[in-house]
Amino acid sequence: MTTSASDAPLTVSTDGSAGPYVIVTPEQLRPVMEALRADGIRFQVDDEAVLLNGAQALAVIELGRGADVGRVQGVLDRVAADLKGKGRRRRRLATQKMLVVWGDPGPMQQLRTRLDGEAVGGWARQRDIETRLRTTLPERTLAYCFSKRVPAINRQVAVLMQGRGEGNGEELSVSGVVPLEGRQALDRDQHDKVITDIHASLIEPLSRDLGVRVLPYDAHVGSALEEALSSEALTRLLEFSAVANKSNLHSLDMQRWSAFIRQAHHDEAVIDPTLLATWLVEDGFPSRNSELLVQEYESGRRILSEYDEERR
Amino acid sequence: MPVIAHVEGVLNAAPKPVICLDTCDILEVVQCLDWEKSGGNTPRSVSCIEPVRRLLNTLTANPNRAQLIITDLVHTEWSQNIAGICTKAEEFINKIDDIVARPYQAAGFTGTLLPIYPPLAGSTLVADLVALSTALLNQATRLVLDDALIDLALARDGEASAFPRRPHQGLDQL
Repeated sequence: MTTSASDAPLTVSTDGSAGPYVIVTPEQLRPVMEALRADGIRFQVDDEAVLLNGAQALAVIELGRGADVGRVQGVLDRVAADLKGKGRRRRRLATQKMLVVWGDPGPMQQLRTRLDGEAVGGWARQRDIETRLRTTLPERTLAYCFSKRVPAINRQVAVLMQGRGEGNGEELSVSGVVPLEGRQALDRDQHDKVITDIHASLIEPLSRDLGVRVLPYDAHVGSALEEALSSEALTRLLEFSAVANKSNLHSLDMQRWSAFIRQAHHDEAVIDPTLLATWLVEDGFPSRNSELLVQEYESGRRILSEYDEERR
Repeated sequence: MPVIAHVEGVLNAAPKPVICLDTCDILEVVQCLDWEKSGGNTPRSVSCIEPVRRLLNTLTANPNRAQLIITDLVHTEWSQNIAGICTKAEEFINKIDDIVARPYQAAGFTGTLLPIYPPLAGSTLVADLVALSTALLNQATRLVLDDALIDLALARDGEASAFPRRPHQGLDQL
């Protein structure tokens, strides 16, 4: 799971105790910094604000008290428009809402004390689930569980939260949303409504006045084909798709497809055929051509592998 | 450890989906920190980790949602292999650190400013993945794999060679 990149909204937040700030994804960080510098706007960057899967997921740009919020928002709007233009050829990946609370040890301790207190917003603490959750986490990891019948989806759900990072007291994140009734898993829309509810009715009220940051963000979900490909293979795939006659594949299209297969083989990429087929359909190929291309891909990789074996 | 008949009785009394895990399903949580092929340069996919976390979250909130089952052999195989897999995962991380160090060396000569890269080798990642793998292992009910059941399985047409080995015969092959 990774944070959605260049298309995430760029907005100045004014709820911080240390003045306005902007939350950016790693792909947005450099262009936003450059644009702010070009406009003579002073700022500080905490680029380790949120680490997700061990990698930087979100950075916080501190603007400081007295910052001209309107002017900064204008700069951000320009950067967002620019990134949108550059990212037009990128495929939009499925995302789901996530929530991280982050702050200095003192305020985070205060937040944990508040979480230990009375129920807020209809959310009930589930200590038995917390006990079980702790047995599945690394030792000394903070774990919380709150449950509620969320009106927007009319289902009883449990939200699991855990600490992250060194000592894991400075960051608390939602690590799972689980339905407590029925066998049907939550779909992304239901998941997002639960996150919206717990954000608005539990975390936000308890975090108020503490000077901690509540960082909602969209995370990519599921396996993305792009993650399995090297930049060279991805470039070849995008080049193929950009110029292909998608409804009636031409021999030149098949040459470009072969170039992609060769690169994927060269990279020893392991690609799930279903993922590849889905990518092609979402990029505008009719399903019959998507199937044909995937067959070609699998057949090509098999032949190349056999060839490699024979030459060894 | 229950025998299969006992587990069957429990499931008949309170039916729920059964998920049978093989040793690799549980080891892969750590083993994914490695190269796709020995000597290759393609990292393995780490996509196995998220479903494991999701499965454990589900069972944490609702223990009756499904029944995880392993045979005793799986537990033995896991115990025999986890240390070696940890070593390989740590070697993989050290290699990544080594690779990342090269552009930093180059940047030193050109004066290029690069963001700070804390070595991954200092992190608790491998230990945390082992904790996750252990949690999955411990979540499963271990079935006694008696000789009669092994013989029954080995006798199945066309599957003898693919079926897990007898514990006393097969473990040394791993």
